[in-house]
Amino acid sequence: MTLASNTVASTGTNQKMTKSQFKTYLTLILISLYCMVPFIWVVLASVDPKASQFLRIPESVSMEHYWNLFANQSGLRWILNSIVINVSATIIALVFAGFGGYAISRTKAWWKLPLLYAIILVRIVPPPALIVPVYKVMLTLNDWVNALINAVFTDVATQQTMSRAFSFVDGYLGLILILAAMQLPLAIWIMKTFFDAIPIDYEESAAIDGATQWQTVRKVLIPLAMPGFAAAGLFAFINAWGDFLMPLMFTSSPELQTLPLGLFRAFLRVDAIDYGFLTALAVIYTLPAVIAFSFARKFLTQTFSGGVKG
Amino acid sequence: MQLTYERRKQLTYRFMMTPALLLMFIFIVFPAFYAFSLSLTNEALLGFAAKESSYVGLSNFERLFDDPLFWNSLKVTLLFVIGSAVIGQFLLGFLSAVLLLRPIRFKAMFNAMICLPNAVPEMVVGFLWISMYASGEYGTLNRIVAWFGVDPQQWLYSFPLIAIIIVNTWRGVAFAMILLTSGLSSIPKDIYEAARIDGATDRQIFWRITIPMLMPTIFLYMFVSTVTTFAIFGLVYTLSRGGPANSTEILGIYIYNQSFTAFQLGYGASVAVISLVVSMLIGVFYVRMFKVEV
Amino acid sequence: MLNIFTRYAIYAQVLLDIDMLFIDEGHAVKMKFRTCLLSKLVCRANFSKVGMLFLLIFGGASCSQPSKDSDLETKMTLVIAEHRAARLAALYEMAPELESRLNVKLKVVEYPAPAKDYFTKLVTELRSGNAPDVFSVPRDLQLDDLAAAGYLADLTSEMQDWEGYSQLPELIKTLTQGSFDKKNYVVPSIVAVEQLYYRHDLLTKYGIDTSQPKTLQELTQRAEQIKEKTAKYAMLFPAGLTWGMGSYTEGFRYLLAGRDDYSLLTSDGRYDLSHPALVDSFQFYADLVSNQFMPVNPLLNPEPWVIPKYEMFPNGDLMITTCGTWCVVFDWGENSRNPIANIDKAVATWKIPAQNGKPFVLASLVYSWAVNDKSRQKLTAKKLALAMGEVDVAIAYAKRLGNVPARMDAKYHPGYPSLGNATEAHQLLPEARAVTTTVGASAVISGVARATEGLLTQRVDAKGAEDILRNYVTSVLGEERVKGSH
Repeated sequence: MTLASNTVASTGTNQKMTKSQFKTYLTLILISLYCMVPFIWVVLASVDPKASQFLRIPESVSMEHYWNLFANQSGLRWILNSIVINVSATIIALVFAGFGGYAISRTKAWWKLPLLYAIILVRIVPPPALIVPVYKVMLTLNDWVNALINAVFTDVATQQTMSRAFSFVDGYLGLILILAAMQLPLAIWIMKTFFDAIPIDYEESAAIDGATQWQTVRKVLIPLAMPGFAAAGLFAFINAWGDFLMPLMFTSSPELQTLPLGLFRAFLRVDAIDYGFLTALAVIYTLPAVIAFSFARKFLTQTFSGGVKG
Repeated sequence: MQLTYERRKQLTYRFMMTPALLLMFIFIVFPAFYAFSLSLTNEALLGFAAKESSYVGLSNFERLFDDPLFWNSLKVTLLFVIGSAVIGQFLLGFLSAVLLLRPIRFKAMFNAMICLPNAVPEMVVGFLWISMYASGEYGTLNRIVAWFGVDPQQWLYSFPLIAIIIVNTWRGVAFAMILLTSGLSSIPKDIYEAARIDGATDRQIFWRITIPMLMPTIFLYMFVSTVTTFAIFGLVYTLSRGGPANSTEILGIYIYNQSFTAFQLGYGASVAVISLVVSMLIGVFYVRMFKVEV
Repeated sequence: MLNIFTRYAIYAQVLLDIDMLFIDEGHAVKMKFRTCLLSKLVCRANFSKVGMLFLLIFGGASCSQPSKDSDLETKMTLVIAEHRAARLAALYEMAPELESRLNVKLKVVEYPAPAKDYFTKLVTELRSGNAPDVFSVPRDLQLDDLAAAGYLADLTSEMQDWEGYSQLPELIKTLTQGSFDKKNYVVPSIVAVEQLYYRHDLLTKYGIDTSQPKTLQELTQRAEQIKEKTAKYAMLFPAGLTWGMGSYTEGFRYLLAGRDDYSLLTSDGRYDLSHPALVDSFQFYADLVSNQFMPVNPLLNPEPWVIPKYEMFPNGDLMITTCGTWCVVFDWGENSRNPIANIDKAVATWKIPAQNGKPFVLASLVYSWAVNDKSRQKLTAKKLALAMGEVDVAIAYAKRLGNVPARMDAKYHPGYPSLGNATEAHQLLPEARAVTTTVGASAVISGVARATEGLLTQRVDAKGAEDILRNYVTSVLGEERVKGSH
């Protein structure tokens, strides 16, 4: 067992070093293989005109599945829906968490500490436990919104349009708000941690220099908290983008389908699965998450200690 | 009315945090409490109860404790959490963290490869592994085991729970690795040197210094990964949907199935209450035990 | 800010263009015009930017739904749900005809194929009020639960006036009604006819009597002969947890339907779950298991139907099974995955033995059409539902699914011979039996699955199985809905 030798210079003989190095590389290669093998199929199948559920080396490589995504109505629709819904949810989460994190960081109220503990507990509520009550809440909000829409607009077409936009079940607004809400506890924590690190003197001296409130925010606070916004935004986006439960619960119209649900439902068409199309879509769906993750990686440790440990 | 500067500022803060707190209240906190009251009703999506539900006291819980499928689900959840979060992810993540801190080449490449699964959305994870586990001689995993002379298997049927544990381990190695790497690098180097001068062996150093110094990080990891694994849904849902024969029906799936395929919302809510209580207990335990600084 | 706005605007435009591809051209031109006008109006009115974004993004997403006030588009659009390739093919075949008959446009929305997913999606949409105008109810035993929840439009008066109603056998008429209020909620299209299918070729070869067994005792004697002479499994009655709903619909129900002294429903609409008939029926299962007439291990596995129905029966390792008309086409027909050679001669049917010695066939309504009670175009939707019950539509579906039309006048339709052997089963409809259920049928189904699982594993005896069923149903539905609970 030479696990501890990581931080100390190895003192063994040359031969021993090679042996342990060999073991190190072998282990790492095995772990990496475990991590990489599942990807081979999705990448190969997405460029294989004869894609199937099984791994095979394509006889010819073609990008046709990728082009099909943009020619195919549903593929493009899913991509665009995912972008609109998740970007909106991320922006809402960021704005709310920005204000919230700042206020919690600065406030001196006696309930600051209980509030912070409460947010930790909110963060660990398992979403599957919420599906029934959230479903009921969404139904109620949905009834209110639709009653309002039907009262304000008389034209059926406008009613349908507004209802698609602002419905809580099977509408954009509901999905955006719930996805935003789910990201808030973590985002608030991240923002609070970052604002904690910005001394209040900065704001006060800016105020003394005659800066207006808005100028202080724009010229002092936002630039200083930018890494915080980046971290919070990235994590909110990754989580919302990957979420499957909420779209599963709250979308049903084909027009509203997002990537995870579209993929899943297309996969349920047991008798006619177009693997080329699905794998290309899966690759497209995975890319933003991977890119965001590669940026977010360096914040990961901070976040978890920030989010849970303090 | 004249407010002092300080008072006004405090009011502004409250005003600023309202939208965030309101959103969390409507969609998380209130529903969590609402689950308790729903669990005392016969709320349903079908039948007369869909029109008008009524209070049924604790009968959902009585039924729950009599239901072998509920106990099965608890057992499956426990095995899933222990198998993937506590053992699988932790061991592989720890091993990777330790090895990647050694002076080796291609460090960035190994790092990126191990991290990739963590970035993949749940739905795609299911999709990838359905192909890995595909039955018949052309399934990827079947081809791999064929090198070792093993006959083709129906992985998701014959070893369903192990199969999903392997998938979740795959997905979470990176998280354990990243967290433990930061834990390992924060152990001061001079402690190791001092121990070495005192003649400690590698093994002694590992068990007497590394592990104790790493304990807070390990606990943090165990807490976060237990709680997140407990909350998993999409991954198992896309892979096996709790089947075959309820063998992968973790609590999240059980709640979903009871609520949206058996359409018994009240009963589903009573399972949700159990799940909420368990995760809250873990949370409170963690916060109290480790005196979380905020 | 402006930059973001332009991007969103482009996005909205793209979304609209995509929709264009799927609506007819005249309409598309008008839509495009309307949207442009909308965005100009919005710009000029100088709304807040956020409001404008929302209008564009979300407006774009649903503009594809044609409006009533359009002068180019005077036809009403009805949304109809359909799923599974075979059913979709039938609907697409009939859609132009239906559209011209009713002077409407049909928007077919494709639903998930697996039965459970279809039903889940449908029920959650019905609950939240955004379900399609017209949809199908997979089985008659789900009707009461949907109707009691208030999801289904009352079709009673329309059905009574419908010329097809008189063509329905009395039993089918009953099955279209809610058991608790006797109102008609669905328009029947096709019917599943079930009985016993046996290997005529093999039984003849081994010299076993192939005449119709009249009672369960005779059937059991036949099973004993099979076991003695062939050493193969005699018969299959689906059972157990993993078979799920089938343990009731394809197994237990056959036994209940054969009783004259028992009905699952009491006259006041409760489930009668303490009756000797139940113990007798469970005892029949217990005998199948203890005498090794039935292959037990496959039934404990996931997908329990695969081995007995798709392997053992075609291979001749299992002689008798419960099934419906579709089996000889899709399970063992020449184009199926597990074909039985010369199936017309190799496989024959027995009616289901009955207590009174008069064997019968079982009928159940499958995929009958219902109207969403919250539909904005309920009157037209009802017309569509009735149109789905016409003979030509029923035949288009029946021939693709291996079922039979619900209406008796189907036999005069030129497409009738395309149903093949199923026409014989169709002629049996007027004398068919069914088991009527009421609200909470799904609890009985789960209860039967649990009880028969206990019998398969020989954990309980027939009396114990009855207890499992009664206790489970009572715990789900409450004591007041179950006769015999304590």
